[in-house]
Amino acid sequence: MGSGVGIVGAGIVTALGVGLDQNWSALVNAKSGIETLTGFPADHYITDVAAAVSERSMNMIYEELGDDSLSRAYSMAIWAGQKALAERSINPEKISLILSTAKADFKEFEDTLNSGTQSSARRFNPGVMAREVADHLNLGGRAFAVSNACASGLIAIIQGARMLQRGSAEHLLVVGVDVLSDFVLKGFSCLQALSPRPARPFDEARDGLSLGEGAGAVLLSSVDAGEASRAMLRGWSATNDAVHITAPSREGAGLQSAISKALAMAGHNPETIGYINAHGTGTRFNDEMESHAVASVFGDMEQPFITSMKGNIGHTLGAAGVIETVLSLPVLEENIVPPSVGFETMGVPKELNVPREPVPFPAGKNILGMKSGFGGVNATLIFGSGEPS
Amino acid sequence: MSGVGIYGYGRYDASGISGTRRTSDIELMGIDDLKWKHVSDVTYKRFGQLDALSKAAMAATEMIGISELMGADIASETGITLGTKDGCLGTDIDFRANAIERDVSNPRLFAYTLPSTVCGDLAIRHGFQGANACYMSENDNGVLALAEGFYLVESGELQGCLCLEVDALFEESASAANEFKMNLDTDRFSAYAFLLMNTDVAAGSPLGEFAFTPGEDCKMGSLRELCGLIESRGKDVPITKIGYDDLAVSIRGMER
Repeated sequence: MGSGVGIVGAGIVTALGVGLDQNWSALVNAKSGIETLTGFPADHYITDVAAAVSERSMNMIYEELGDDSLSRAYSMAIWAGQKALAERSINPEKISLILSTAKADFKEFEDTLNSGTQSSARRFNPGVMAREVADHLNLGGRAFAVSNACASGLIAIIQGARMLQRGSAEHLLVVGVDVLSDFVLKGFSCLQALSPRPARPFDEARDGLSLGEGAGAVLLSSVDAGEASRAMLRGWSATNDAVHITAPSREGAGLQSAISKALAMAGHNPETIGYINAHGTGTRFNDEMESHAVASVFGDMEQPFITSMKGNIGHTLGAAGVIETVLSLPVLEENIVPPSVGFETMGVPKELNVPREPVPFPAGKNILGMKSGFGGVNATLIFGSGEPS
Repeated sequence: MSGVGIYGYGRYDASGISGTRRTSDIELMGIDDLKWKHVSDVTYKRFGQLDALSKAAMAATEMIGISELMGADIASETGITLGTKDGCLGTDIDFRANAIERDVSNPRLFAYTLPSTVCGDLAIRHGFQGANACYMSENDNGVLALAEGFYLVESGELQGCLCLEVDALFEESASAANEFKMNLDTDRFSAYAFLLMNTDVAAGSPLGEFAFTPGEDCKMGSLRELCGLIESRGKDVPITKIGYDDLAVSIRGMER
């Protein structure tokens, strides 16, 4: 037994609540945080639903941080980061930070504009926000952002794992955050990508995604044999379709390649995967593409369970990879795969094993996370419980 | 572990357009005036649809002459690392000004409100199907992109990696920013691109070589500095080390 990269701390806030316990309970009970949108001019968009973090959750965060003047994105990022850090006693001077985000704190910028004052906001720049989050958490290592569209989160975790493996960092805090804003609501409206109803990933009647917001954080460390961790990272990969800027490759070749390469890195065969945490946006093309990729790798065997969490928490964009990795950790600890909310009737070309109710997670198996995004990017991460291999 | 070398470079900045393939004889121009014909003889109709960041990145990359350095088999195992300070800020402002303030929706513009769209454009143009990463920080963006590109090739995850440092703003973005009471430098652009390859698969000699130099101070300023060193080759430039942590790049004063 050698050492490996493990997740040793986690923090999360989503539309389902604050903390992993609240979020997990809601997932297992098939709750959805997608509700009627408030605080935005909903008639400007092609939907009036989204998965917003509740005011109750925000008040709790502000109370714990002791500062209600902080912006929504910044406070969520700091709070989630603090929760992950609290699980291990590590000298913060030895911790580097990677911020995973699509639009960072653009909402703060919008709010400043709407107030008619001179804009002093700077955290709409992901690099600036990364440095400020690190400073707020007194972290002494490097701080930078990874901004790779909806695959940002997994690519940030992969980046952290690589840095730990080669000794470029001692510990890594990966924080993913994105919040609802007029900007993203308008943008996805003009792409005609939003469903007027809560998203229904993989379902026959799916007609688009629901936007969400939140923050997730994972603390990564080198873990030696016999040391405890929430999960060990076994393999990963990233690829590019090199086909289209906004649409995925129809047959999922790029994602298939990313899955196969992650399995090869882990030294695993497909039978070792017990659950796939899909991207599952609820758009026609994405879910079809994922079904092709999964079928091509797992087609000749009893397929692992596959779910999307987008029906619960919406699409949290650049934070999705981190948030959904955090939400998958209890699968390993509780041995339960929560249902895929919004799914009723199979609506993708290749048959998938999508549970409508909670189902047992086969002990000893691993989780495959996969995310894809604009620019043709795909990212995959295999993680499981146990010791370093 | 594989040997890693720099096999090509390209630049587009205030000092001109140049690179491994050729030094353009066109007069220096701002990004608003840059046309595809200024950097390539090959037809590429998408160029006019790109935002400033992608145009700058594409122009610098085109000066490398990638098709002469690798075939499709290596391209499919080549990735992209991009470092940028301001990312797509100019396009963000354009989109907000048009879509929100003026209620003019533009899906294409929205796609460019993600800095990593640059990687998508470059991947499509060159058939690069390997890993992508877009890094944003206040400092050392390009150095980070170069170092990460090195590690990806050295580990065998990739056979090649295009590493870039790019920042660009259109004049019109700055005008839009003024509407929002933001001050942005006008018509600011710079793009530096380096092609890293596994020395076992690359043809010819590299322009620069990577080495670990524990204990030496190898702080590197920027990829602009690295471009300058490469362009000084053949002028009796001594071995110059330029680095990130213990990782350094040596540019030798020799003809290729």
